[in-house]
Amino acid sequence: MNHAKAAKPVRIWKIIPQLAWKGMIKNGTVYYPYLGAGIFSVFTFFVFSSILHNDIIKILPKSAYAWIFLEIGRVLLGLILLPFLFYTNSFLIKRRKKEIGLYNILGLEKKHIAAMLLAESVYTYVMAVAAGILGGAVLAKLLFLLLLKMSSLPVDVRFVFSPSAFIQTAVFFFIVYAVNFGANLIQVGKARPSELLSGGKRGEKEPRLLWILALAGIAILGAGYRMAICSETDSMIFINFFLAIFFVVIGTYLLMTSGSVGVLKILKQEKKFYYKPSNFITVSGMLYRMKKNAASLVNICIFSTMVTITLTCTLSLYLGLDDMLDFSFPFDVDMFFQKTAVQTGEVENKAEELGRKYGIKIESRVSYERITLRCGRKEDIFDIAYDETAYAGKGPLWGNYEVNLLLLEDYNRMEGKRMEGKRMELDNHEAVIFSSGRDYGYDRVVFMGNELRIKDEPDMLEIAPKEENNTYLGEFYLIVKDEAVRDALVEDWAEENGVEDVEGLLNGRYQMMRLNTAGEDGAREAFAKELGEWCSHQPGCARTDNNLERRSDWKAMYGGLLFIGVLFSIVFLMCLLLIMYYKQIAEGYEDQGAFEIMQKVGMSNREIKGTIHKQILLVFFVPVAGAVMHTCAGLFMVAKLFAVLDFFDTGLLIKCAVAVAVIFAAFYGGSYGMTAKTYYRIVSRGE
Amino acid sequence: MALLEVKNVKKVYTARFGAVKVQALNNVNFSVENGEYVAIMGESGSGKTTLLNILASLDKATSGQVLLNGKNLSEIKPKELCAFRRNHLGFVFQDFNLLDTLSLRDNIFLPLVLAGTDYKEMERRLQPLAIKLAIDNLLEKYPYEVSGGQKQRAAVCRALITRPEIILADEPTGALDSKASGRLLRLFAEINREGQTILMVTHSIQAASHAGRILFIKDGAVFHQIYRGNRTDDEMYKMISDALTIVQTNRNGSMDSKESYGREGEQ
Repeated sequence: MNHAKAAKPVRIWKIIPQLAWKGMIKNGTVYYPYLGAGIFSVFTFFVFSSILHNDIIKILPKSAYAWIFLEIGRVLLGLILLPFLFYTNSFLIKRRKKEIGLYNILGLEKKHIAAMLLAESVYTYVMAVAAGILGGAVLAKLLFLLLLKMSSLPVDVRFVFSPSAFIQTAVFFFIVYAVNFGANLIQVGKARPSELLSGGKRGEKEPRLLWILALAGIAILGAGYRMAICSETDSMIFINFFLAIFFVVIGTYLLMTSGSVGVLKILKQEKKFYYKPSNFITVSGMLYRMKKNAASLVNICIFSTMVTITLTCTLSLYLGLDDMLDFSFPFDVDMFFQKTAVQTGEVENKAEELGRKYGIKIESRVSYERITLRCGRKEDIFDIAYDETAYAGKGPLWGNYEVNLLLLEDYNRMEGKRMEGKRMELDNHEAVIFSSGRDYGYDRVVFMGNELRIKDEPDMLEIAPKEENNTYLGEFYLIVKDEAVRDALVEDWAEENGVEDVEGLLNGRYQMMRLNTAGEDGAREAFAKELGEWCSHQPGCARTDNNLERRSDWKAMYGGLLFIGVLFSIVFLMCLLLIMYYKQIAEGYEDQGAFEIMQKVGMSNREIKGTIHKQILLVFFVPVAGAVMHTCAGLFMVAKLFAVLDFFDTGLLIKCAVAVAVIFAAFYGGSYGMTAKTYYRIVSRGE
Repeated sequence: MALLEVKNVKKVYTARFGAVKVQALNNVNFSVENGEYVAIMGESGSGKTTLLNILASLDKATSGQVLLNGKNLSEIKPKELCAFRRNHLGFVFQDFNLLDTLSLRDNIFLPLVLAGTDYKEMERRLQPLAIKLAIDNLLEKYPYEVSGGQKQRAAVCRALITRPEIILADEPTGALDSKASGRLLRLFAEINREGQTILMVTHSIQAASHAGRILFIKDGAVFHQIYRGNRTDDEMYKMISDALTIVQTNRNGSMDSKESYGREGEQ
């Protein structure tokens, strides 16, 4: 007897692992996607970690940016995955409440149920981590090579797996699944079996103050859009960028919640519309769960926007990279000499000599005098630069620009080809102005009180490319008659800015020597390197820029960005798919009973399909329309951010956005069709 | 001609792999005249739910015929079946089967909406029915906001609004307390007096005692029947419970006992 009594509890504990396992298999429709999401998350995280932990990525020349972006990417990934897996899990546990309630009534105590949930979490964790790391181990090297290729880094490196990548992945996801397990415990622990058994039948209450919510939504969304569209490219742009995102998300949520409820209510009032077979069920069903419905509309909308914007950025960055680099680095080598000390002839001879040595051609070579002064500008007046901390300058409405003072003689020599042999003539009160950003457009310039008439504003210079959108790093080139005119301007500038050593300022002016090369890449790089090395020992050398090297730095940086862009697009897409899938499944199970009743009352399968079709149209259209609008507004922001990176090809950006939007819409439509099929299968089960 | 004729209906359930066959209905014969109120009684597993599903065209008989107004249910194309159900039959279920997503008004309208009826016509039909069923001030409420009896009256309203030839009620008082049951049964009797044909499956003697005729089903066949004649509800109650005792104690279920008792009942 005693033996039997003691054996009974032991047997309950024994069946629990099995019970958990069977429960997962039985709920496969909802469990497998959760598991799949877990595996994919582990995979991505592990790939990031193991690339990061390859010492090679730190040692490789120029890989610092790629490394930094990967690290940022990994943190962001964690920030996205944790709430996402949490959301997915909370959906799962709600689905299973009934089953767990039944176990409870059949005699499983809370502690047994907790053990069962623990077993499930352990299974899920082990499977996700094992499969994710396995997949990661197989594909990490491939992705690593892809990263190196994108960053134009040397590809022939060894890839090693570091134990800390395994450990970090395992620990991070241990935390994720532990949090989910805790949430499940709380969910089940606070509910009584009777509550667990009966799913909530009550319809959702309409949010109060619908109008105020709608107006607030419009206002906040409008503010977000305004910020995205109007904010200028300045030091605030990143703050504005995040604020705009924040506003748009909040605004979308408020507007879609109140808007969808409001529209549904109006549709319900419209008797002629409402009492049509397919509208009837759709509208009433959506009103019944209006908040949940709105929340998933918002989620789908936000994730769609993230996917399209990330993909658009990645694609246009990839296609526009070479143009960007050409703009940033018009010359392969820039040499800065002090005008007073330089021997230009020697430098030129050395360049020729080295060119012959490395077998490369020196294509375009310019040499000119330059003084760069920092000014504040408002319309056609140039004054002291605005400095917030020193209270200098006239005020924040004055934009700060670099003004390069050039001499007419250099100008005529360098720009002769462009001017078809004609020479520019200037008197003491005339100047030529060139803006590397938006056109200057005025017919005079007042520089520190000196008025100069603008005789010409060329569209381009040999020495500096121009882009209308280049507002952030825009510079002015002011070409004046001769040294006397220039020195007078510099003296006035010095006086206004309180610089006493005018002589020093003038003596410190640069002779810029810049050149381009053509030939084999390795030889060009070696040439640039040796020339730079040689220059640094020459009299008056201020600095030399090896732009070939800087180009590959930038390429490595953008390569890292692109890599992250691609992976993040996939991550966002996965989140979106799962949200859509779970939305359909959840509603399918909720509606199962309703459709059963309707079939009994006399609704045919055809009418059911009609209803589902209607629902899809509404639910499909609204978030995509929202996402398209968000993307349009976001493109303004992206264009401005890209301008900071010297990407000015707005046409390319728009083309990429359209292409991405079309492909995305097709993909989205396809996946919606698939999930709708799952929904139909669930509600028509038994027929 | 009878409104509903059930001729030699058999139903055999076959397990998926065909090894086990269960005979749920074994040669059922009866007919219902226009304006009749028939109750079908039987124990759990006697086949009464199977029979009702076949009458409701939710299930198909293995052999035999069910004729409604002379039309053979098994000859209706699957595509038209839903429309047929909607237009000719009214249903009242034990668990009400009202949709939580719809107000009572919209629940009642559901079959008419599916049939594409004009909104004004729906309203016109609803008003007198709602008053008769005493739910006219509950129409904007949702099923989870009203009592069981009120829910069932709304369900009856939904069944009546299509003006069906016959109402099929499956254990309509099964989920109601005795007070609500009594009220519902008086309603059934009242609408029956106004000419509505009702066929009700139940195992409540109280529910059956309001009917004009009671069929007893046992082991998949009609075992016995009682006509009301001029008896009161109380007399009917007594007769039904006596009959049930016989039905339940008669283990071999022979035709003899049915015949003898049946004749006695008709005296």
